[in-house]
Amino acid sequence: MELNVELIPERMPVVVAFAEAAAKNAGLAAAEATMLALSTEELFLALCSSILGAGITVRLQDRRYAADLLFQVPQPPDLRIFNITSRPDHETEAGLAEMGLFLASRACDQFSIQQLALGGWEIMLRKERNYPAATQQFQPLPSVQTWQLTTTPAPDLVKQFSTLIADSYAACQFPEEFTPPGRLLDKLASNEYGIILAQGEQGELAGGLIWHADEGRIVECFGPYLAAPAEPEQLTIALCEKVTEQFGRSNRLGLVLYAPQQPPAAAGFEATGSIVIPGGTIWTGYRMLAEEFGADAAVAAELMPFYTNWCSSMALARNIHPYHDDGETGNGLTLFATRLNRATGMARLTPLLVGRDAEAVLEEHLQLLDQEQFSAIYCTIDTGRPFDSLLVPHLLRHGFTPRMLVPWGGTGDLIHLYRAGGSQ
Amino acid sequence: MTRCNLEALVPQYVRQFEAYIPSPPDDELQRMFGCSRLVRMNNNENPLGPPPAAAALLKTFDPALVSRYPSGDCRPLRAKLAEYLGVTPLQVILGNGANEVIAFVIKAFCEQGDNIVTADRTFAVYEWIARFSGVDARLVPLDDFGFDEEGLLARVDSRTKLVFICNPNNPTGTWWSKDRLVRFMERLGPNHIVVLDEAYAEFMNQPDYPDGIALMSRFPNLIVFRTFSKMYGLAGLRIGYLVGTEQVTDIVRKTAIVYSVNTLAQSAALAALGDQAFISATRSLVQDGQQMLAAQCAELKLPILTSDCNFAMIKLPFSDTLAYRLLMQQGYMVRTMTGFRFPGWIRVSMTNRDAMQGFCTALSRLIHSRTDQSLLARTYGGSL
Ligand SMILES: Cc1ncc(COP(=O)(O)O)c(C=O)c1O
Repeated sequence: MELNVELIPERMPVVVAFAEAAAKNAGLAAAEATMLALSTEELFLALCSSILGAGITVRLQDRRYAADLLFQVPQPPDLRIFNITSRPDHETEAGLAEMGLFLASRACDQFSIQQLALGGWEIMLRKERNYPAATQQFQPLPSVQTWQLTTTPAPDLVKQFSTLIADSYAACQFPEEFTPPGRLLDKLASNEYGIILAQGEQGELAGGLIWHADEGRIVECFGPYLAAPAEPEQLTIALCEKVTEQFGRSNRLGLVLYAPQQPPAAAGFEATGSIVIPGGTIWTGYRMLAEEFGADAAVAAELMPFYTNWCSSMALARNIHPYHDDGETGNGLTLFATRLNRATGMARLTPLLVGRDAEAVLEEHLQLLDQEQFSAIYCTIDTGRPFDSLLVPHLLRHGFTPRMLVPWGGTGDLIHLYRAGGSQ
Repeated sequence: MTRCNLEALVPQYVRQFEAYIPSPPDDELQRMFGCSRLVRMNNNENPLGPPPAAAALLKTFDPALVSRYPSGDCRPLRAKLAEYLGVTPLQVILGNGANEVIAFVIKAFCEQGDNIVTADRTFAVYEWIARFSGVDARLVPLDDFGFDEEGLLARVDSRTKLVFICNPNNPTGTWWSKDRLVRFMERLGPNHIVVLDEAYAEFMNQPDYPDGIALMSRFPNLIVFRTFSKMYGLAGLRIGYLVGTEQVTDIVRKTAIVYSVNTLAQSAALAALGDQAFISATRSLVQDGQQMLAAQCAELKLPILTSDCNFAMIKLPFSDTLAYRLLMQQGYMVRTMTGFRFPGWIRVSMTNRDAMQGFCTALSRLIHSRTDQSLLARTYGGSL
């Protein structure tokens, strides 16, 4: 479904009706469709205020587990409207409620903006479907001696796997989106996610691993989650090798593994830090897929010990340029892409542009995220984008600490910095 | 300025394809990894360089000749190759490396909707050229590290134009015997072309290793690829060829790029071809290297696949791409096998004695510094 429309307030009802119809078409329940329509209304108004009269295209992408509304705009809108804190009067409760785009992001599950490679900008509003809770509990099985791997398991086995995760692992050890079973199946059907399951001789579930590949160069892997295999290390290695093999000859540069327990070295992942999420800490591993050719890296002086330590332990070939703020003019303004997950209390900030107002914009974001009770906030810095370094002193001053390095994760390497909600 | 709408111009199968990024020049790599020298063991090159006659020719080559176009269809070289191989000159087509002749063949026989069938863990270029040409590449898992006859036959259908068999296979070194190849050709029937990539044929010293060219009279749907890059040490000049029946080459010639093989390459190949003393010397260097490496791997309890080829595959107890970085720091460049869908393996090209010795020491140091070897032995110990 697609709609071409002019950015004038009078056209809003058409766009909102389109959003609602599209959402229903994609299988969202009435309540969720209304929420998406609400977000659409806010976004449309914000765009009107920024590039009045421009022609835009609104498209629905049905992801099965979610409906994405994609707004393609031909010219850059005033990017400030995309900072979730952009309304001037967010000091007061009432002001908060009026922050259109923030509200938009509150009513939908994900909100993002990106510049398209071949021109124009695309703004995405995602609303996820609701699923009924699992009806069955995972039935523990006798330990599996030998297994076979499958990448195309029967739906029933996937459902069992979802309940295995939910019943045998702590909530912090897996993304909640892998439950309930219906949602996991829909995620797999969207083709952005994949699964590798191990089955014993009788077809019984021995364990598995889930991967998620979006547009970037990195594939995220979760697991392995095991039932009761006789040789858990062997099964862990087999699952990790299988996912590595699947992406070995692809355009992906690396895998990041979020593991409930550290796998043996033979599984092929290198330690790359750990991430803190509400309720616990997750071991993270990195698997480079490509051969390392070396790269230039711009790194803020404050992050130098962290970065050089990891480069040396991972044997990365980097030509490191310490980045100093000599007062040069960066971008005119600061813009963050924000990803909020209210269910887990996690927020992710990625600087799209870093300007002289960086500290103020960051402060506003943190204040708001604290008020909204986000308990884990991440900010990602890219060593291939020198201006990102300008943000670092502000991040450290506001309680962020570097936690994890993902080589080749962006233009250059990505450094994930973490801040517990409310910390200074 | 009006913008070009690239999105609309690019076919979907090209858009989806990711360009291959070759490794940077040695001096750049040395600088990045902080090593004072670099031993290349990643591309299966011949450490002896080209045969003496080709080397001498290159030294005395008249620069004035480069202002003229080369022979557009490599006529003198085709004549010599034909005589050497026992075929007619029309049966030979040269290209800018065997890589280019792969493209000639796919262009000649395939259109969108067609498919090629090959193995999942073999030389990547068949798969790549097919995909960026809009042709489906059907990949059949290897069976015990070798091409799987049953698996290949099961994937062939009426839209299958080409079946690529890498014999011996890069990177596993496994090969089909003459009997096996003949049986496969008989079962497949005459309605599909079989491409036998014999890039490493000159290294093979096995009585039942088949000569694909000799089988062409019986199976006119065979095409054989050979190259001057491996045994003959001319990789930098880019020259390779295919041999088929005249009916087949008459078709492939239509999509072959004329003048794509340069004068220097043609002359060097003419001088190099058939130097038996050089071939023996190279084979013995390869054999020494294989033995040295096998002994080192036995000591380190690492599974290894050796063969007559100038490369071997080694299974490591940790990530191959990490091993690559750590070996680069010691000045040894190997090929990681994750890109060949063999995670945790490296492929090592044989080189001269001193460098092999140095590599063995570097490998041993690497393994001792990072492992939990008992686990590896349990996983792979019994199966190799
Ligand atoms: C099996 C195989 N075929 C073909 C080629 C390509 O050879 P050339 O250098 O002639 O393009 C190679 C090179 O690595 C190879 O291993």
